[in-house]
Formats: sequence, C-alpha cells, structure tokens
Amino acid sequence: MSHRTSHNAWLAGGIATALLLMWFVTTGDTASGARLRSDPEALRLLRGAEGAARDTSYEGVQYITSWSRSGMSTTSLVNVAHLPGQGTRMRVQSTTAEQGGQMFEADDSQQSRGGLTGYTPRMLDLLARNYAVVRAGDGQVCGRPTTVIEARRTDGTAAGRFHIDRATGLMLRRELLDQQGREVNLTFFTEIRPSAPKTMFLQASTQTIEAPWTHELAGADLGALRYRGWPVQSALPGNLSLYDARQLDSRAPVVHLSYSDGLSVVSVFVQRGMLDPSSVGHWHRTTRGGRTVYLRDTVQQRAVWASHGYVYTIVADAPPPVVDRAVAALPHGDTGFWGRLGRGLDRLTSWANPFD
Amino acid sequence: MSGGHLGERLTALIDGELGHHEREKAHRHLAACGECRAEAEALRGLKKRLRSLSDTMPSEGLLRRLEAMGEPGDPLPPPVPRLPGQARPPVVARPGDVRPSHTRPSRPSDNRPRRAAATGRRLPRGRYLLAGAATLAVLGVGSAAFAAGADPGSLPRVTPSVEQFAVEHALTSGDVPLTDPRPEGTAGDHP
Repeated sequence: MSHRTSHNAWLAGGIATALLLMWFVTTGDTASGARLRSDPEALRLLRGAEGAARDTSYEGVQYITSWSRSGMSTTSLVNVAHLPGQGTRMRVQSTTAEQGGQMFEADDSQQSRGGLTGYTPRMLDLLARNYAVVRAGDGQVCGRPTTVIEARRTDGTAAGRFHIDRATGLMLRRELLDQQGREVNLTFFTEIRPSAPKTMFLQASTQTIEAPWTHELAGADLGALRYRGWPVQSALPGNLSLYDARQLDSRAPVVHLSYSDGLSVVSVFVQRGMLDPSSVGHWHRTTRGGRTVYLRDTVQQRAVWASHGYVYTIVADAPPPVVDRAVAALPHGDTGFWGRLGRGLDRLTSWANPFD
Repeated sequence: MSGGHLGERLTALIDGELGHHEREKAHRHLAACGECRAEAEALRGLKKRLRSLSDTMPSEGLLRRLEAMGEPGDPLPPPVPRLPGQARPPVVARPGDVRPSHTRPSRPSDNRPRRAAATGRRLPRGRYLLAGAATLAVLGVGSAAFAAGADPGSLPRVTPSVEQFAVEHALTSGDVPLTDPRPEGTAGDHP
C-alpha cells in the first residue's frame, strides 16, 4: 500500500515538473526564442544604418504619417539635410501641420537615434529580444535598390519593416504594422540625394533643438522616486521596457520615462499636481478605469490624465492598441473604498518612515 | 545490600510492584533471611507513617508563611564583599521577611492551588482584552488610512507642456521632432 502511494506521489511530481517545464518553454521566455531566430546580417545592417546616418551627407524629403484608432491619418512632410560633423537641419512643411518650422539638431547633441536614423545598440538589443529580425528580400525606395528587413512577432507576422539602401547603408523607409498587417506608422524618403546639401547650411538661422534633459535618472534615483511615491514602472504591457529615464529640474520637476520594445516608443511624463482641465479642453475626452483620460491622435499618440496627485502625459510612436494597454497599466486610481484605504495606508507608511 | 539479599526488589515488594513469580521468590527469600525480613518490616512501618502524614493538614501559620513567600519582598541587601579566601557568608533570615498574616486571605476551602484557580479565571479575560485591543487598533489604523487616502486638494494645478514633451520624446527616441499638426485624411489614405 505504501509502495503504491509512493509510486503515485512520484508520478504526480513528474507530471507537475513536466507541465512546469512546458509552461516555461512555451510562455516563459519567448524573447530568447526570437533572439535565436534573428539573422545576424539583418541586425548588422540595422546597426550600420545608424553609422551611415551619422557619416553620410544627404538631403531629402521625409514623409511621416500615422493612423489613429479611428482610421484617420496624420501626415507631415519634412525637408531633411545632414552634414557630418555639424548636424541635421529639419524644415517641417505645412502639409497637415498648421505651421511649418525649422529646427537644427547638432550631431553631438543627438544622444539617441531612431526612426530613419537607425538603431543604437540598446534599441537593437530590445528589438532582437522581442522580435525575430530577418532579411525579407529586396525592395526599392526613390528608385534606389534596398534590402528589406523585417521584425517578426513570434507568430511570424511582421511588426516592423525596414528598407536599407544598398549603396549608402541609410535607412530609407520604416513601417510599423499592426497584427493584421496594416501600416500604423510610416516614415520614408520621397526624395533623397546622398551628397552634400545644396542649400545653405546655417545653424544660426534655425531654431536649435536642445539636447534631451541632462538629468539622467539611474537605478538608485528611480528607487528613491518610487520610495517617495512616484509611479515609476520598470515595464509596460507589450514587452515595453524602461530604457531611459530623465528629469527636468525645475520648481515643479517632470520625470520622463521612455519605454520601448525596439519598434514602438512610449514616453511617459509624470508631474506632481492636479490637471488643469482647460489645458486639454480641445482633446478627445474618454473614460478609462473610472477616470477621465484625454486623447489626441497626431503623428504621435498622445494621452493626458491625472491620478492621486500626479499628472501623466503619454507621447508615443506606437500602434494605438499598444498605447491603450500602456495607458491602462499606469495608475488611474481606484475611487472606491478599498482604493482609498490602500492609498491611505501607503501614505501612512511613508509618513511613519523615519528615512523618508 | 549484598547480592544475596533482596535489595531494590524489597522496596518493589513493599510497594506491590513485583510480578507474581518475582513476588513468590521474594517471599521465599524473606522466609529464610532474617536480615531482609527486618528491613521489610522497617520499610512497611515507614510507609504506614508516611500514609498517615498525608491525611494531616498543615498548620494555618505554615500555609500563610508559604503563601507570603510568593509575594515581592523588600529589596535585596547589598552584597557583602568577600575577602580573598573567605568562604561564602551564611544566609541569615532577616526580620520582616515574612509579611503579617492578616494581609493575606485564607487558603480556599476547595484545597486547589491558588495560582491555578486564579489563572483559570484570568485567561479568558486576557484574551478578550487582547481581542478588543486588536479590534480597536485595526479600526483606528483603518480610519486613519481612510482619512489619509483622500485625494489631496492643495496640489498645484498643472498644464502639461505637451509640445515640449513631444520634442523631448523625439530627442530620446531619435524621431523628427514635430509640433502638433492638424489631423486630416481618412482610413486607407496611404501614400
């Protein structure tokens, strides 16, 4: 009898272990599976696009468009000229924008690169962690032969598609695709001349873009913020990882948290205070989690709301569902009894803490 | 006692703890050994006296003095320093160590130990007190937490600098910094 019991126990334990292993294999680390399937040559081309954008003289017109959750598109045309060692001049044409404008970004101030300027190692690592990056044939942009690279989801569908110029290594086209294969964000050159810009390259005549906020937040800083009650999450749904955090030091500091999966980029700006509703009066007002959220679909997805003494602003280059999930994952506040009780306990704990 | 006598078995015999066979052997030995017989008699006599003692109540004074020993007494006298090689001083009873008998109630008539009876009454009351204190603490902390959990009303009103944030977003993501354009077009308006 005891032998039979022991045998059954071993059998149950074995089955449980096998199920646990299967669970780990199938759901535990799909990212590493995607990393294994990536094509090193495709990753090299993406990485090379960053260097090409920095070292190549070029002038052209970029077409940037995105589609909102309602199917509306928003487009901007941008004249771009780059001179190595100096910087990039951008002139936004008044297509769907109300007003155009010129900006200049010095090469040495460009701390992060993305869009058509290629992938930094950090962003490329995120991309390879979440997608299988592979070559997907040949293409053509502005009459120039390109190598097509796709970032594929675990189900094999393409989430991103890139065209790399075979001659210069520049990225000429970038597409973000939803689960159904529809473009949700598109950036490409309608014209490009890989040569020194013909137009006068005067920095003084344009509005100079400042570098990103210089106060970078390290892990200890983020921990201190969390300790003081600031809502700092290390990840958001959709494999969005926190890859950059900065702070604007002023009388009312702003914390900027940047999340990405390698394709989509979601910026969350957090401020202490209560939202002035008149500042978002012309935004689309909706309700999420019992709280009012203000949305605006432009070339970037934007959302603003307030919760428990903090004001959140999201600016994202991402498909609307990704942004919706990120908005839902951030604090919206439970207005019920238990929500208020939990919030109060948190505050009491922080007040009672002698190290706070 | 030597190995030829009953020894420990004699005590067991008097206490009735020997088995039938052992008891028979012991009785045979007693019949033949006068020394053991005399010892058995002495043991029986002693046992009889002890049994008679258990029926006698201790005196009232002794009981009061014993109870008084459980109460806190006066502070201990300072230790007397000993010279090297001097033996430990003898313990001397101090006058007044035993409290007057009229300060203590008499022993309960049920003959149960006082402490056990008192504990039996006090334990449930202590538990009730503990439960009440815990309930009060939970209610107090809960009320304080509920009051502290109210949305703060003295925070500054914030107008997010969305255009500034859009530029900061573009700089950290590497995209072209764009101001807020006016949306137009419809679904499927792909180039």
